Amino acid sequence: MNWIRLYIRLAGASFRAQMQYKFNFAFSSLMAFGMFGIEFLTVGTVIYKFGGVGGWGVYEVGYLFALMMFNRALYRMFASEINGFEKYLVEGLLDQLLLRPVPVLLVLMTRQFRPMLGELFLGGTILTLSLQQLDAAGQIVWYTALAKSFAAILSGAIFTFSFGVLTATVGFWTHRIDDLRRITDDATTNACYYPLTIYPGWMRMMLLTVLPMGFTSYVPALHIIRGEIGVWVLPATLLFALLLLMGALRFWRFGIAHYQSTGT
Amino acid sequence: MFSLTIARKTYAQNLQYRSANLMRTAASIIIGYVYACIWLGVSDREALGEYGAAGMLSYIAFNQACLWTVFTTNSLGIDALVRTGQISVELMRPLHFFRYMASKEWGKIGYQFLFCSVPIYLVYWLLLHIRLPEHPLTWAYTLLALFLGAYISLCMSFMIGIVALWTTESRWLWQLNWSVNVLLSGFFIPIEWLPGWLKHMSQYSPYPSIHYIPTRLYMELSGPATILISLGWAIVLTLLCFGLTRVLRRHLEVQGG
Repeated sequence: MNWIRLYIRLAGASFRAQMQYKFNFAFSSLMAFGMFGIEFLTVGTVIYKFGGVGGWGVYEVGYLFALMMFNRALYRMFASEINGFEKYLVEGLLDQLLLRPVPVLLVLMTRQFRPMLGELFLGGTILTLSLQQLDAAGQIVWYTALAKSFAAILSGAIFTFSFGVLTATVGFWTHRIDDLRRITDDATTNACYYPLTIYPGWMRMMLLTVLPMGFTSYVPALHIIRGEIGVWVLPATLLFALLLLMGALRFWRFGIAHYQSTGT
Repeated sequence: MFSLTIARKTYAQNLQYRSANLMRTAASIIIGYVYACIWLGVSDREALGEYGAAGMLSYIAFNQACLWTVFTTNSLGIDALVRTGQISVELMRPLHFFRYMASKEWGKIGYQFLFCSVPIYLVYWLLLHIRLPEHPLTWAYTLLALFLGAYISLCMSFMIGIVALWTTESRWLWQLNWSVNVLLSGFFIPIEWLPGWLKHMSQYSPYPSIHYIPTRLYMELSGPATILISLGWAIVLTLLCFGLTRVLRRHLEVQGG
């Protein structure tokens, strides 16, 4: 309980510090909304024009995109510095954090706390639009789908966070992780904006086993909006996410015990 | 001559990070493949016009390979110079500020062409069997159009960097520009398939010169006359960059450092 109180206090301080630059905060939120909105508009235009992709319609793909947007927003909101962990290793900044009487991961999570309003607003808009259209087509009942979507977002955010921690931990040995992150985060996230049915078998398998980011959007969506799998998939996905998180935290503890400062 | 030396130095500087570059190139290959899969996914239903499914695969793959040549540094680093006050030193150098920043960027562009674009192109050529031009001259036209595309992208980054004089931060504007570029440059969708108003916006902007024109030339779907469009935009943007540098010299407020 003390940790939670401490987290709220430190994250609040970080947020207040950022709010000293109000224009920058408002501008960056607006730009994030525009940037990802254009990204969806680009692909959405193609899917709409050609009547679907891999058997999925534009609103179904919109639903996947919205789930990924929420995952990204929650991950960056609570773990922005885990995503940018390389600088702590390369510039020796981690040494200062190790001296504090608080777990390093907790300190990292309180730094650069941002509410990610642009991504959340865009995710909310696309999710609402997609559920509304799918409901009108008789494919789903919007309020049940919305409730289930919260469960999917929770497990998706845990998956994304776990991958972030796993990638950051590799840095205890390699120091440089930004380029590895491009594969474990950027490339896989990009792939999971779309239904896995468009990829060849080997890639689909990879996104469900080696780098199981497919569980963040595609697998829950198969139940929530397509009804192709039973409701059991939601608790099963959450359980898998929690197991991955436990493994990631264990790996982090192992990694930090092997940390050697760069001294600069 | 001085410009060439600066470009060579930046090239050598980038050369130090060859191994770190490998992962970035690998991620780029995967992301490009994702885009290609989307087009193969939609081609189940339609024939994809004059491109066809195989043609669209080549279109996307070639654009993804070229991406690193036309992908310039965020604001050419001008916003960081403004924030640290270093810009006052840079403006005192015995070379025009635009030429100085452009020369530095050309070194990076040259590096990225050789160590990102060419390897990505070769991987796609080997694994996806993308099409090759039938006429040898096509290579020359494509490279010229690509050179102009990189220059246009560089000019746009410079202009965004200048905005930092007023805002001290231009990262978000640069990222927004990049998103608009993906939409309007024909990087993912050939311009003729954009909805009406977006198509008009694209046609009257410099964005098609960055991807659409070089790729259409490579695929031998357009003639070399289209290079004149890129040349026209390169001239207009150069004049704008020189004009903005004049404004910059008058407006500059040196930050704390």
